[in-house]
Amino acid sequence: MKKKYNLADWLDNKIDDQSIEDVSGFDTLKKIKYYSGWLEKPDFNKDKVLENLKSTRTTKKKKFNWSIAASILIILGISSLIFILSVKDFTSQINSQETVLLPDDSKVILAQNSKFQFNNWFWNFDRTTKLNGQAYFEVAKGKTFTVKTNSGKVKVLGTRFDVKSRDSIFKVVCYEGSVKVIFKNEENILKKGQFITYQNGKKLEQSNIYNEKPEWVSKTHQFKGVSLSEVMQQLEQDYQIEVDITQVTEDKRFSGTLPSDSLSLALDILSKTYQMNFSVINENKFIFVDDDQE
Amino acid sequence: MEKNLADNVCDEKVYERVYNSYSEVINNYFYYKFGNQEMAEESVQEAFIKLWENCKKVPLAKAKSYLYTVANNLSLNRYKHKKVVLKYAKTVPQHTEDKQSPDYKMEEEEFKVKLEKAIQDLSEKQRTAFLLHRIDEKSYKEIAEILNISVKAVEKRMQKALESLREKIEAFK
Repeated sequence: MKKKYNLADWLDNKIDDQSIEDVSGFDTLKKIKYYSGWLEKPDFNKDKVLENLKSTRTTKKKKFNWSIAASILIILGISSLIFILSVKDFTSQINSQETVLLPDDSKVILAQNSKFQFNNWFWNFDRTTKLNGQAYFEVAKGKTFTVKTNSGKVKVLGTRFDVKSRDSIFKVVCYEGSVKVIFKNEENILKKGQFITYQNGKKLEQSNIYNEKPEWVSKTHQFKGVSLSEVMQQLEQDYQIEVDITQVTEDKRFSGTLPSDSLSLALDILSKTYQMNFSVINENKFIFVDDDQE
Repeated sequence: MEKNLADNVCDEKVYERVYNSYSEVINNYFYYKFGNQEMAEESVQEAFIKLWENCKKVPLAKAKSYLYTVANNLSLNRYKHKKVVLKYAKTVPQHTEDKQSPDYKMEEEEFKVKLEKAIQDLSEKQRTAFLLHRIDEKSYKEIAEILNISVKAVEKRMQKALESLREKIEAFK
């Protein structure tokens, strides 16, 4: 059996030359063995191939997986659709209030002409609401609750407070507990009975307030040492009217309560306090003048 | 634990060690088989990329046979087979001491050319086995591993290769 591959054994030096001397062509075989032993290895650039290999390896790994990408897109699409669909929008009409109950039983009373938004389905993950206008919040105790407005942010933990964000005014009043007011880079903590007002990007006032609830909620407006023009602005808003006070010279500050559901009473109170008369220009326009009668 | 870590082919250092040990023989094997250097390098790359992708499943001890198996299963149809071009060492010592005839050098060169041509004409199977032994100095056992055949089959191929080479060289005369 062994003899069958005697040339192979001889080539592998398992048997010596003498063992195959009688094989025909022995001389040629010896030369084959000799010269084939001097053949050189083919050119192989080990390092270059390794380098190629490593770069292919990483690009292969980074190869874009379309199916994964597609599923991520679908998941993202569905969740954002749910997110968008579950956003609840509330708008109170001019001259009417609206009460919104949040999923955690927090109560929000929207002042007239205000917009309020929250996400119903994601409420447990994200108790963030958006407000444009004015609203009074009675927040149930629990996790942080955030009110975002165009002007600033209010962060709270179980409390009652009022947020007003109209035009250039941003005002937060805390009636119970404490709230954090974030305006630009400024943070202020309001305790019970404190309020803060910003106008045109500047802090206007930070002071105390003594009532239990905002006047507009109780259908009255309380004023404490405010200018006549400010009182009139409030009236204009409450009743959707236009008031001209350019001819009034009296400049004292007003403190008192005005109803927000009876225009005639409100006008009457103001006329008496400031000694002025008013005339009705049309249904929605009033002009005040100084009362000349001494 | 430490031993496991050292044996992990996923480890860059271990991987490179495996590469340094086996890349050349895989390259040469493919070169002897098809005579195409580009193809040989591609085979090395593909085999080692497969090893990297499966590095968690392949223990270090199995890396060699895994590489050979993968290499043997590669289908690189896009490459053309070429003639296996071989080189001899620049200075080959004189074969026999007594023959110092002026014709000697010429005869030697002539033989070398004939041998190369005869090798080119061998079958793929015979040529790969023969050259892995002669050039890469692989033992019959190792060649059997690379080609995934038995040692007996390697011996048979070597025997046939030698016989075939002798016939061809003598026919050139």
